[in-house]
Amino acid sequence: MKITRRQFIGGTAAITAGAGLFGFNMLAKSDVANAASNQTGVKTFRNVCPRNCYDTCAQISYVEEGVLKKVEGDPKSTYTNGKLCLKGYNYTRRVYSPDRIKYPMKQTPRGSGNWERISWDEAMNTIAEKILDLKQRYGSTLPVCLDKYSGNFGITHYGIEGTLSSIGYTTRAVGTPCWPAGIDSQTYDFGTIFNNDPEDFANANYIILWGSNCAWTGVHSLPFIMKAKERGAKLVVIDPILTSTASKADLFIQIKNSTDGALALGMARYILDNDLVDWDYVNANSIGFEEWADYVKKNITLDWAAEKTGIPKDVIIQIAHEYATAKPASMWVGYGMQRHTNGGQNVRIIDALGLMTGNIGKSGGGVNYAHLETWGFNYHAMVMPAPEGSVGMPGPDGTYTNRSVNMNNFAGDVQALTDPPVKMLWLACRNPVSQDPDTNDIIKMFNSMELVVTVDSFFNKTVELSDIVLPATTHFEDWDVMASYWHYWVGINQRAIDPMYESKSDVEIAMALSKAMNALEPGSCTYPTEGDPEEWTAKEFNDGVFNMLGISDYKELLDGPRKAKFSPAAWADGNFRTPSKKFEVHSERAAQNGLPAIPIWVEEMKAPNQYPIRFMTPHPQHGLHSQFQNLDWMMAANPEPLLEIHPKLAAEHGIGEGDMVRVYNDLGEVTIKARLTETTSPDVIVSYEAWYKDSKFNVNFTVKAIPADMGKQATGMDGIAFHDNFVAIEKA
Amino acid sequence: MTELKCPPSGAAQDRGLVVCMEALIALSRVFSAGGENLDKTLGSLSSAYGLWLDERLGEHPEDREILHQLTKEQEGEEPKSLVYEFNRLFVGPQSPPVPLYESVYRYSENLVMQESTLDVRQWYRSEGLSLAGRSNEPDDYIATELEFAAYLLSKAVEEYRKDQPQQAKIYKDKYNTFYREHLAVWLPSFVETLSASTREPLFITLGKIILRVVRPV
Repeated sequence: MKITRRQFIGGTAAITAGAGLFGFNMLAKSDVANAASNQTGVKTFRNVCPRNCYDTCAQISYVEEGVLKKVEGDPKSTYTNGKLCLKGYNYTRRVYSPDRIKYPMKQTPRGSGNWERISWDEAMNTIAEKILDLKQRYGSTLPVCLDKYSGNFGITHYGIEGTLSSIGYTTRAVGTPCWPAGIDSQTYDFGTIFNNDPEDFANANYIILWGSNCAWTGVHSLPFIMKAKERGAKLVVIDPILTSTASKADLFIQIKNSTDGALALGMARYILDNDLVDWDYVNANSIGFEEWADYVKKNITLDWAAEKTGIPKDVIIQIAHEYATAKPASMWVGYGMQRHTNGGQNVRIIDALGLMTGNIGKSGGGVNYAHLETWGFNYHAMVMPAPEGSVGMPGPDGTYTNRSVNMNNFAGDVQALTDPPVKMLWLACRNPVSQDPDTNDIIKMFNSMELVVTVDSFFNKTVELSDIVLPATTHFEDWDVMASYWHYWVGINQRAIDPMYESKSDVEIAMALSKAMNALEPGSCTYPTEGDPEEWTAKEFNDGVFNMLGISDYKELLDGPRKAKFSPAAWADGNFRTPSKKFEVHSERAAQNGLPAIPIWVEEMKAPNQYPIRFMTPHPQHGLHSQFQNLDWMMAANPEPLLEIHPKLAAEHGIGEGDMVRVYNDLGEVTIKARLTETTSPDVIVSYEAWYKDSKFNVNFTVKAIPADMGKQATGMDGIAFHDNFVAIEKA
Repeated sequence: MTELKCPPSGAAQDRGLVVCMEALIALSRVFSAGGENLDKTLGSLSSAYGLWLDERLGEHPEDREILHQLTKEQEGEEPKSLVYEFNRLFVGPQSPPVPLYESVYRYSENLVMQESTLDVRQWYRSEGLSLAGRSNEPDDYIATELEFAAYLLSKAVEEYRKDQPQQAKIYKDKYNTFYREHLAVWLPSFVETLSASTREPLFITLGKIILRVVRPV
């Protein structure tokens, strides 16, 4: 459009000729009195950190004039006790980072970096048209695939699953990458996962942190552990890496990876030989113990355990004796140790140690892994019926179901589907291009899609390979309710500030998509199109949750989070949830799944000759998976990824401090700067998984989608042996 | 104020203010309408800047050269390359190297919603204005600040046209104070960052126009 100067100035004169005719675009006349009423000082709101973390911190947000000024821990939670972690104190920087994704955007072509801003209407219409087109072409919505996991564990975020359910039967990434082998081991043994209240660590006389680096990944448990220590409890840390947590221990045991079960079996042999078994507890509460004790006596020696684990025999004897006699003695089984091909089995052996010493069901005891006891919500945002006439995978009695693909072999499984193929991905609370094994295969799988939609707050590797990105709210801009998989507290999350820019919550996105779908094809989506965010949250509560928390209305949580009215000791009542109602040392369910019925030793995966070095990629201090590390303070404190390498191994390869090291195997490679340290052993190199801003770094290029031994019983799919990652190295 | 070549119907003294105001509005629209509408908004900016030049004939030969550059640099581009570059620089979804918010430049914190955000909110309130709320941008979003500056000039023009020169002067003073306390504080850093970040000469030219037309009256 060409405007002549005369027309232009003529228009201007008209605009400015009279009062109030200024052509406002960004601003509007407002009621000054109303505006002034906004200035009522600092308001506080209750929030809960929704990240995939043990601590699920109760937070108080301080808001002045609609601006989030500060976030603190909520002192009403005795677990977090008014404190946050390194990451939690960064939250204002996450909310107000100029890097946030602000508007719906589309990229043409995918991966080109050519982005255009689009309206929410255009975004929703494009997506709705593609869904309807796929349904038309393939006769169902199975070509639409959802991959959602742990980016936000708020209960209303299960509305993401609801979004897909409301359009029909779809393909779903099923499983959990993090912890399933351990979940199954405790499911076979106890019937489910159920840890003691972590505040109960304070009552222990002896604590073994077995593969837990809680100083980095669950910092609020540490004060309770230290409290026990001040009372005289001994703290033992067992880990392949001398972690920050290990530095606080009385005894650090550097175990060879994946041999935790061998150590536990050696301990069991000592406990059996020295008559330290709590027979009363074992006889009253378990089945199959004698069978296992017989196995241990016939097959296990302390010399073997020492050889296998790299731990001197006298140290094994010492901790076995101390653990069996300290009463109560507590163990925390971390998630890293079950990310092996024998990981679940190793946890089963450790569980048996807890049983034989009578440390289960006791305050100050437990073999503590996780729990889901406080998660009994309605999942109102999640449970949506398929539209009438929808077709999916044939289920029982002429019904239909979704189609499952293994989240832990996502790239491979999706590409293997042909009838119908997957043609559209919906990704929310999930960053598979950073977090999944075999990054190259993930990228290949993305390339086979007709449409990739990602909901996120930052431009991570998955957004980079999407066609449409939708801006997600942060938890300060949402209503929600959060429970923990570790402590016993449940908290409400208030909308403390208005959603920034054009960001929307997952439920709001679902409602918008439903409007678009139904406008194009009435009845094609069952998701409600209206609803207030607080009401959506209110609908997640039920009497079970109220009773558990000792409240009668969710609004009572506005006064502070509530702790479930449980005994501090899980399994104190002895009512195990196995088929036999006992602790099942012999598990028929394990046997039915092709696993050993009893917790016998299963050989660890060995390094192949050409890739002799184990590459561990544990959880970082400055981030959580691909969250937080991209923020400015984190980039300042921890500006680049490092490869921890033992000086001896480094010398063998001519690698010096600060040299770049190429880490590779037959699957892929990554180049990382060397940091020489004796905190790891000479056959293990370490780099912490993270997404750094403006960096191609990713630890998963060499990780194969090798399944862990367990996971399918309770989570649908086996886990991933992330730490059975073998590589070769050379100076880059 | 330079003498007018072709006075419009309004009083002579408001002509320069109108031209400044239009240039500010045109700049505001370049940002608020986004990369997708650059073909329209740059056209308006060319017109507004042309008028602005007409008001200051002979001041700086380079000023006029910029107008040619602005026109030239829009020609011969791939249809969407300026759109993509606009979004890469200012919008995202990649981390934008040149965010459009005062508070990012003003403090070492590199965050939105800082003190300057609340301060401009007070400025808007002082005129009975608040964000129109189409998109929940921080108050110190460049398009909003430029629009507010333009609004203050429009009020001055209005007062001149009502033959209220003293009232008009109050608005001119207010504009100059807002300019001094906000626009002048961050736009030079903004333009510097823009010039260092862009791959397209057009945006260097846009920066030059910003530094020329956003000025005291």
